[in-house]
Amino acid sequence: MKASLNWLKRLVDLRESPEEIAAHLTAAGLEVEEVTRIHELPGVVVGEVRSCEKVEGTKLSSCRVFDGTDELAVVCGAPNVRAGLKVAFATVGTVLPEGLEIKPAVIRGMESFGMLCAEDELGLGEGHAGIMELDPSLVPGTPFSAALELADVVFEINVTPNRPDATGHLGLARELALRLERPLRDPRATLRFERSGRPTSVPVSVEPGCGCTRYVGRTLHGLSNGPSPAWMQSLLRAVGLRPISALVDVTNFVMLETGQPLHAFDLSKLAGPEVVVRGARAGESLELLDGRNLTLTVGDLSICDRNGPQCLGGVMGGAATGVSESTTSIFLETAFFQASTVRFLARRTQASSDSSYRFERGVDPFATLSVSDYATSLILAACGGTADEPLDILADAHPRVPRTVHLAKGRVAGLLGADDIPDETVDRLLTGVGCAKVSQDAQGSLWSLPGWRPDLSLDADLVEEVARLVGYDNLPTAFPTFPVSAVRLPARERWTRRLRRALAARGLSETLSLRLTSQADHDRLGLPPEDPRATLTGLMNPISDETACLPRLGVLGLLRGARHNEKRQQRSVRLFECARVFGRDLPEPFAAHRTTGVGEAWRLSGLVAGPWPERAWTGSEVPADLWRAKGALQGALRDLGLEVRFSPSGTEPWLHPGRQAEVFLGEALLGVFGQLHPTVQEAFSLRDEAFVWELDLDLLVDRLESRSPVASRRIGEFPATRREVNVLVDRARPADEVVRLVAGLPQARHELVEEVSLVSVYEGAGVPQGQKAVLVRASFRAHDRTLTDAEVNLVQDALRQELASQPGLSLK
Amino acid sequence: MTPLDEVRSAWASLAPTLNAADESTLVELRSRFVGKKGEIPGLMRHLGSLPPEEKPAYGSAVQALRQEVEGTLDRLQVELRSRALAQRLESERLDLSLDGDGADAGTLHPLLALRDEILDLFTGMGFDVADAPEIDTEWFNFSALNVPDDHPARDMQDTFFLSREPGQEAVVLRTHTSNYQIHALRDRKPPFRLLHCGQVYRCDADATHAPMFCQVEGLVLDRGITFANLKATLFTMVRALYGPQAVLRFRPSFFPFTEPSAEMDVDCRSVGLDRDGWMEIGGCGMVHPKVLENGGLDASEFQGFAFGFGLDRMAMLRHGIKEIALLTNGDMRFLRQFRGLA
Repeated sequence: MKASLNWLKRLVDLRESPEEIAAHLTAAGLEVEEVTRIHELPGVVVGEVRSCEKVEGTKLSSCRVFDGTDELAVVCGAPNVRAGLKVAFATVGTVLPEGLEIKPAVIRGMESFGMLCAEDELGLGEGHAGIMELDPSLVPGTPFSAALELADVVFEINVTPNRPDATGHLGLARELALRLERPLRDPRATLRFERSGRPTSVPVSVEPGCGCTRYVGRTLHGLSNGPSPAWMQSLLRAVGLRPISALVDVTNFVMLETGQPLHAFDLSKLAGPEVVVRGARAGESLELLDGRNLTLTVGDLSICDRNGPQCLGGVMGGAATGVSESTTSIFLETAFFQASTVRFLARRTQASSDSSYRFERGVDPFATLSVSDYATSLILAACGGTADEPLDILADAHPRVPRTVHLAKGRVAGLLGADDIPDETVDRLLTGVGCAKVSQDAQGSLWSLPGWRPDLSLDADLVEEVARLVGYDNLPTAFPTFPVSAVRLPARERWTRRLRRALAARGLSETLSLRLTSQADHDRLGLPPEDPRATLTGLMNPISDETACLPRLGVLGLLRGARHNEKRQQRSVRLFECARVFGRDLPEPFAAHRTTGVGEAWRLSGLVAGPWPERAWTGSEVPADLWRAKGALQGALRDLGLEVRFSPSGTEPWLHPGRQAEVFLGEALLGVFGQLHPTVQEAFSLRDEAFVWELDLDLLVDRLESRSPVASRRIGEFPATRREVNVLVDRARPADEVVRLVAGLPQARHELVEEVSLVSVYEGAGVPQGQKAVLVRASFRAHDRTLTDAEVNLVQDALRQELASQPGLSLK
Repeated sequence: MTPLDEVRSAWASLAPTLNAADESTLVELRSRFVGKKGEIPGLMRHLGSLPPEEKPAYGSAVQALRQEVEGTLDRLQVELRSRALAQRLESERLDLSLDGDGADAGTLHPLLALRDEILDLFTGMGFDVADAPEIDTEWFNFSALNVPDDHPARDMQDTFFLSREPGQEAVVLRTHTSNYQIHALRDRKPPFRLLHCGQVYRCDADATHAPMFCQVEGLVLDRGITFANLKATLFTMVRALYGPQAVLRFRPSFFPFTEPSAEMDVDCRSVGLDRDGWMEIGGCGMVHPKVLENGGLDASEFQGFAFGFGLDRMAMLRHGIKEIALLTNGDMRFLRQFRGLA
């Protein structure tokens, strides 16, 4: 909302600087975002053309112009320049609003010291037909801006949706009057205009339930629709409106002053004439003022004449019945349209207007008639003519009396924690915003609420009025008291933090991916259509295709990040992320509260690709390989005391079929780790092999949180004896599985066996084709003696026997 | 010449060559002169044939020669080893100005590190931290927070809607963390101090607004919680974040879910920014009675305050980040700068 300082000064005495006024408005909750001084026009003065001679063969005139002190030679090209004219004279040194600097000039051999200005050159309008012709009574030398009262200050105010009253200058002035303790001059209080005494003859009917609960209509005759008064034009221009004609300008002016929109129909164009306020019927359409032809939906609030809809109620007038310069009689509408009706109508038709903006926020249900009177008085003053008595149609649903709210004693102090605000202050402030005390008793007071403040309805609203007018900074500050409690971060926060730091300690960088992604990128992972993760959850109103869906896999964000880096020649990528993923196949959080149909889960994802920054000074790049990537993940998990199992698998289509593993935590599947499938790598335009993981962070956190404390083991003092056994297995069989098999045998659990571990894996000479040799070591130890060979041999032989009977393996 | 003289002169004749002797020569000499069957122990065999009065002198002379030989050989051996060691050490010289293995530091994300800090700050103030959904129904995101569909307050936030089946209630990407308030009110019994921090989404992205950004939401509820309590809590927060010199002001504003509502502004210079004026950091207010009712609480019994603010701009100001897209595009050059974030 743009507000003009000159306009506000019509309504309340203001002597403060624009900055002080802006501070008052901001402190009242009407945040001033910008203060702009307009039309100051330094250097432009009222000039008098003393003499004027046409220059033969040109459009130029050679003039002598008096600037209040000197008579100067000025060459002017305007057709309307003539001796005796009072003009806007830009003296030498002036910089005009468009940036033109006035300098002494020689035009066709004639000297010129200054410029006579047209409207547009002063930034006052579009007029360029000739120079401005000023009031002959103006004194030469007077600063032009002051002489025409043009200089103004415009406040750009961020009006919150709860303050419809602040969409009019009167509402802003009311706030200032209250803060500065000065009287408000409501122009409606002193209206005088000629009444014809005749009733408005146009029949008006309002269909119940159509969204209009009060309709004031009146006819005005004998009008002459010329330009509006200069003062009104200045004020309209100041707030960014182009003056059009008196009738249009007055309706705009009254709306911008009172916050109540109005509409003027050209009476001669209304068929009937008659006015019906109703919902649109099937097949009806309307050509709007902005030229659009709108097919109406059944029930759309319409102002109709005998031929059908002529105006979209509260939103925009129709082209056919609008006023023009030849209009001599009008039907003036001032109505109360329901906020929600106008809101849906404006939104559906995408025809938001200054009018719908105000109706959506709620107009004063009691001001309909007084605003009509006010507009009528201004129209008669500008256009002459007479006004008929208005029709005021009130639906049963329309309020007849103001709403009331009870403010309990102690409520202000109780909510604000301020017990030092006297009752008299509360009374003064509430009265100032327009409330009226209806009654008072020991329990508190009953207040009626002003029609222009539909946002007030609860006692808390009245407390807010008191608080904001006292000033939040003037209210007390006090710490809340709470019982002592042991507060710690929840498990997810605590363990996620540890994991993030463990991964960062291994040289990875944490990232945060946009959780808006594209199906096209997701498709590059090559999930088959029957995979429940294949189709992403989509947005109904995305900003772009790139951000139209919600990610189902955490690695997708990392792959997009890797591609971003690749395009910028950043090959060394080591990213991890604790990402949120979404999908209809995932469990829904807070399902006890409601259903959204889409689940959410946390993932711990990582991606490592390109040169690993180890010994870069050798001159040869060390590429990241699977073992480095796995080491980073495995190591970080071990930092937290988690020993996971990597079980080679081949089921994830976006991973290399021979280089992927399912990651298990105990028997629970935690996720996958592996090399990105070469076709996926290519689909994301990545030059280097990438090694990735995607783990269930919720499960990880759950397991970390429910772990038992580390149980310490006895450290042996006597020496250990080591024995090794070489096991031949199919080369596809995971070595880790062989070790676990050995460790799980009954003899391996003999009290003398301390540990079973992997020594080496070997394929090649000496090992049959298609097999590999897994060398497993067992350590033997007793806590009370040094073991003899005989003792160890006994267990070892038994273990070998057990092992030899296992299917699928043989001893070498 | 006595045998003793012979041995002595043999040893003396070696003197000029001794300094050049290597380890094996020294071993050889040791064995020749002082070994079990060496020449000097051999001299002691002559002892028996000497008259008794000469025996002591002879014995001492042999012993003296033995000490001289052993002493010299020991010294030479030490010198030889120390030279060899010095040579080896010199050959093992390394350029320690080069990076060690595994020295390449990883980094935490600047926004998420700030998030950690904020959570710690509020945990220290006795707030319980909790998670909340990012996908929610319109009711939880708007209506329950006293933002009815027919009210222009809805327009304050541009909302992403999820595709849905006909007849299904509209599901949105939450536009603010305030949806947490309703979930919290349903899950917990006051008194409580709660904090939630997470991502929110709005479809009005441009150069300075990302479609996803991070918000913090606080909710304090009990009997008799006041606006004065809200002010004290947020003053504490701002001073903890920016230092004791930070100047905070509360300005009347409007949020449908609080009454009274306020915006929090900090004085730019007081928080180290090189410009005049105030910077908006967040919104707050006393929880609206309708919100309490929608959360299943008796608004006449409990009251409290709520607050919320964005972390992205805070992180950008802290680190001088100029482009909002950098926070989410995974650029390694950007991310790797943030070493040492706790």
